[in-house]
Amino acid sequence: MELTTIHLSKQFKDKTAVDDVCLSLTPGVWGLIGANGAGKTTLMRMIADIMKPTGGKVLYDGKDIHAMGKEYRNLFGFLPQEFGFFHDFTVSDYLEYVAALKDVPARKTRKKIDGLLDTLTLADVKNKKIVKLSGGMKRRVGIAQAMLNDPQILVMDEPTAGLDPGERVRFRNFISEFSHDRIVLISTHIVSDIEYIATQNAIMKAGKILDVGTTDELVKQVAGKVWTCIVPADKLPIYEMQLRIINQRGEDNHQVSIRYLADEEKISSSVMASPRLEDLYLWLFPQEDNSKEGK
Amino acid sequence: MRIYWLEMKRVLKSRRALTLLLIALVMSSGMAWLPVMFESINYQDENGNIVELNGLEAIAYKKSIRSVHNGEVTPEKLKAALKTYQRTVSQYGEVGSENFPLAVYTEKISPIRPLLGRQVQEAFADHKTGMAADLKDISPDQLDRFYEQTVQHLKDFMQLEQKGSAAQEQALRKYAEVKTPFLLYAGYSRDAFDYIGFFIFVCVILCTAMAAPTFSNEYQTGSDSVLRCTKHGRSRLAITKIAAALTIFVVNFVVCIFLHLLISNLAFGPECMKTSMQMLFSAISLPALNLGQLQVVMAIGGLLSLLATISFTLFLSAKCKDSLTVILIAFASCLLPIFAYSTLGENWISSILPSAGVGMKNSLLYQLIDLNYLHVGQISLWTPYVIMAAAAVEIPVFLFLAVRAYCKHQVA
Repeated sequence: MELTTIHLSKQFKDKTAVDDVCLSLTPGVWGLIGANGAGKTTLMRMIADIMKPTGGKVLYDGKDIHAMGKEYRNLFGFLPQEFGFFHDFTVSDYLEYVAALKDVPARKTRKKIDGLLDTLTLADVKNKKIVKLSGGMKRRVGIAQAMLNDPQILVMDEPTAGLDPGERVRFRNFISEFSHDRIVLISTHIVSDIEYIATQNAIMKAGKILDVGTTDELVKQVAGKVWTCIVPADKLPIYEMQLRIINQRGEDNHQVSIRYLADEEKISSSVMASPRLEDLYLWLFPQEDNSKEGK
Repeated sequence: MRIYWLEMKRVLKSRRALTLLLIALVMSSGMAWLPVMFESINYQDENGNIVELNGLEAIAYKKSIRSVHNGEVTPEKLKAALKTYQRTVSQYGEVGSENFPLAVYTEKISPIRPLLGRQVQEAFADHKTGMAADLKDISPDQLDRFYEQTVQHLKDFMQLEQKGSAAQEQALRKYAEVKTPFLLYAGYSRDAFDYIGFFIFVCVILCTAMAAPTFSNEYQTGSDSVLRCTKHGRSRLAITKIAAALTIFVVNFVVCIFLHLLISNLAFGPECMKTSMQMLFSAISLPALNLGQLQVVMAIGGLLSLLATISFTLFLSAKCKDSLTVILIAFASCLLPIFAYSTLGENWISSILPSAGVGMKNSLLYQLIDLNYLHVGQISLWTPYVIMAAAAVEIPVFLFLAVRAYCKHQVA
């Protein structure tokens, strides 16, 4: 089983959102990492066959997905970034509706829905209108609908947005179990969500795939570039201007522990740290430094 | 079928849809009752007091004094009525003048009023100008040839209005099908027919508002991205959505129009339905229909126009990315035939647009009453035929285009 993008491009009026992307996705969890505007959503929409590429094509086991039509969609599950729903539908009604569209047999639908609601801890709200649910619950309903047909290819755009830490852990475990013999593509800029479950990652920037590899392979790019040290709190503003600080934590005695990226040690007494995927992300997308994400 | 029922459930669970359906139902009853409320009559009782009756009481009273003439409108009946009218006018002065005694009006004029509506004056109109004759100027003996005169008047009218076109011959051929003598069962009001037409217009507007978000709302909310990725999320979903919408609109229309006609006909009396439409409207109206049949034709024509308008709206909904744009264009297209007709008179635009049969003077009712023809070279087409044929063609065309537009839609 292989999902391949061949020289896939999407040009909007004045912007190339996806630029000649060649990717070969095999079974496992794939993390698609990139900053906002990198082209992840556009790429996913083309893989979902809801957006026509300007150039190139997407193949599933060598067959054009657009030509496959409903045969492809039958294998496919999709959670878009903006998950719309019907305002007057309850969770259960909505899932039943999507299950029918996915051709889940009527006799199996109830069992399937109940199973997903239990797994995603939505059973208590199954008769509530979706519009009245919290952001995290709505997101979980979106995840549930994507999985109703046990898809062979599951594409999720920012699935963890709005989930609390506990929900994100449960989601990771659920996806890990689900991904056996399936292609699961997850886009996120919360890299910690996929760091431990992704078998492969693709890093996207300005519409191009910069690199593809396992987390260990990719983080080698920033090996020797991640440092930690403790600095006085009153000097932190100066270091913030001089360094790419990616994390900071208050310590006793007006001290601050910082983690920064640099080709070489910039503050004496710095200790080289083991790189993580997030470090690579921040190294590749320096404009994100200002956000000081400290996950 | 499973998707169809789930889609029906989805639409019928929508508060917006339910509200609009309820409004349609309430308006169907309300608008049927309004012309009943407009009915009124004054008469003088045995003690000389003026009694004013309104609504159902007025209808019942009018029928009690006019029903003596129910049945065929024979030249003899017309002659006798005209003689009574002329005798009364010569004795008491012009009907409607200040000095005309109410008791005389009630006894002499009111009973013959439906017989001497506009039909007699119209039939003896000046053949050069088309101006209606005054009842005082018509000799009762002329009424022996009343039905021959209506044909002559139609010829004169068509000569005046449709000079040199095939329409003249067509109109005469069609009019030859009208059964004579006309039938009259007094009591039904022209206002009631106007309100049937007006209710159909309201129904079209409400259904348009309901249909507008069918596809565009899902584009707007993003739920479309989920649905179109499913196995049946393309043409099958589009067809199912359309089928569900049409089912709801057809059932809604049938229920509402049935209720409207039921209330109206019960209030005015079901026997009135036997009246020839020529006795309520124009003596030279072409359809060979009684009022009951005219109501059925209006309902069928209204349904066709409704379906054509909805089909067009569904196409817009599948094509446009937001519901507001759809609703604005759809409403504009609903109103366009009205404005086109009021500014240009009979014209192709007000006859071939999906909502051509609904509105005010452009409505199917007035096109059935009037003698409007459209011309293509030597061919003349009576506007009611154009309206209904255009709607019948537009329904499958716009539905096909709606499915195609939905399937081709690209997420923005």
